Amino acid sequence: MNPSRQRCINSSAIKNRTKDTPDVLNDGRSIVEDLKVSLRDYQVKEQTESAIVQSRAEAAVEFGRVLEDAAVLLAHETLRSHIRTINRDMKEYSEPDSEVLFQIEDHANDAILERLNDRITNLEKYLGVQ
Amino acid sequence: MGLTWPWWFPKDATYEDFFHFLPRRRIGFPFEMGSAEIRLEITNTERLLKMAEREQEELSALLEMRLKMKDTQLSEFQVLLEDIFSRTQYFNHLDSSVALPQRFLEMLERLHSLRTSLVEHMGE
Repeated sequence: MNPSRQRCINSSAIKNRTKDTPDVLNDGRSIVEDLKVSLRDYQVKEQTESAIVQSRAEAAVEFGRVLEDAAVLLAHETLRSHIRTINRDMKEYSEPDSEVLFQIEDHANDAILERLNDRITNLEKYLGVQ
Repeated sequence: MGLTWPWWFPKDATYEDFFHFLPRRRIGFPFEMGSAEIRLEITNTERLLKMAEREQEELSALLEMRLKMKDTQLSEFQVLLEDIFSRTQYFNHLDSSVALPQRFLEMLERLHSLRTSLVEHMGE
């Protein structure tokens, strides 16, 4: 296993690779399923176009909405990251000679992230930040 | 009268504190209101903000509710994640700073800084 990367699988599983292999893989699959189900509860709603903020009231309202979307995005991306990591852990666990089998580049949330950054930029402009 | 800082977060809290990063900050449910009640309060307060004479009062209430909403969302998420990983002895959850790609961390840090600027602006 690549020692440098972060993983969810722990030393208990690695030490007992032969004896516990089925249990570890079953646990991993079960967790991934739970994480996938939870993804449904953390979907960022369709975002409105980023608008110019012109008053304190608009800034407060927009900040609150951005904050809520950011919290949901944080949760969603955290779940996705765990799914990626556990899938990779299990692959390496079941095929220890395979080295790093696949580098997963996941940019599914990048469009939402970009939109949030645009909205933050508009708020920063209103507040004279930057 | 300007806004006061919410008592549950010091002004100098980092963005990792603000967004309840694991494992550095584990919290329970400190609020009496659930998500649905907070959301209703937010909707009502946004409506009241249109009445200019009450703006300062409503701005304060809105920001407080938004912070409570954020804390409730992230508390529920912590519980969910810990519940999922409590069912296995072979896997642990990641620290938030590891789980989230750098570009997401940068956005959260910007938003946290913005919150400071916004509260200062509202208090002027």
